[in-house]
Amino acid sequence: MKMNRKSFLAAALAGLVAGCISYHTPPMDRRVTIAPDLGTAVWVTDVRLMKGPSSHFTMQANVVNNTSGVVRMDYRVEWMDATGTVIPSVVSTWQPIAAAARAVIPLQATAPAPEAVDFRFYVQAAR
Amino acid sequence: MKKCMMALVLVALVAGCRTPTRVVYPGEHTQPTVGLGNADVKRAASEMLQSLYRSGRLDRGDGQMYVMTVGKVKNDTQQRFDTDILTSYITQELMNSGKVVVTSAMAAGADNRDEMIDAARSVRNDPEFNQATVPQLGQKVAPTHSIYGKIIQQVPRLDNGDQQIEYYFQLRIDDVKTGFQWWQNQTEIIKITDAATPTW
Repeated sequence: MKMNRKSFLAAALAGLVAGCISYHTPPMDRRVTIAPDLGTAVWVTDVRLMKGPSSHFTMQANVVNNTSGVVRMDYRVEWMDATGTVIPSVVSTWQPIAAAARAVIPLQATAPAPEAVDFRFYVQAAR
Repeated sequence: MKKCMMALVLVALVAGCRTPTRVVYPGEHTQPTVGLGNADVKRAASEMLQSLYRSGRLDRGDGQMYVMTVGKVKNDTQQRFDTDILTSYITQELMNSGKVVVTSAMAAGADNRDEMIDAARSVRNDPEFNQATVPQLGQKVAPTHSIYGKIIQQVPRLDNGDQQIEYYFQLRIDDVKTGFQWWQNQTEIIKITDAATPTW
């Protein structure tokens, strides 16, 4: 019985320690593609899609620089209608952005048509 | 013979330095330019259009379309730059949105006016033309809105002697009936180059 008690305490302690370990893994969103050339230097978090006063959707995301240096990158947002067909538009051109060390950069992009209901967010190292 | 060899080597060296012509594919990144390049204009157009879409100004609610005319877009930079490149990106997108129609019957620049609209009216009562197909009086539609603006360039010197080239793209849309400014946006593009590079 005494042995069982010790085992129980050890198990409880192990559980507590395991609960405290945090795994530094990037959040994944099916709408986000980070190019391999950025590796884990950048994460994209808090991806949201909303409508303000307009009939056009606006997406919002935070680009997080995990490094201790400036990261220069390009991003683009491609918009799709309900059938998944891409809506070609000049708003989907690559845009440059620089993130200071450990900085979080909020980004917004607005759809070119009210029919655009979904998007894909691409980010790559500056060319 | 020695001279010939040297000349041949020189020619080969010069030829080796030349950049062969190649097509820049759509979606491919272009090289940075001191002056205004295609990527800059596209970037400015993109930011301006998103600002307009986000504002909700285009949502009329009654199913009708706005009639827009292209006013003057002034090039106040040191470069030769056709501002129609910018306005064309904007008007093309607005027409694709299904919320705006652009009139060619009235525009600030001759390039945005279609002379054939008046030419088609000049044949009224001409027996050579079927008069049922000739535009009649009162059929043109006046614009409800006008788009106009300016591109500005400023070149302040940096402490180290380099030049910072600042481009400001300003566009406004006015309600023609009231004269009120209906929407406006300013987008900046900033570049840095050495002191010796000409900025025109």
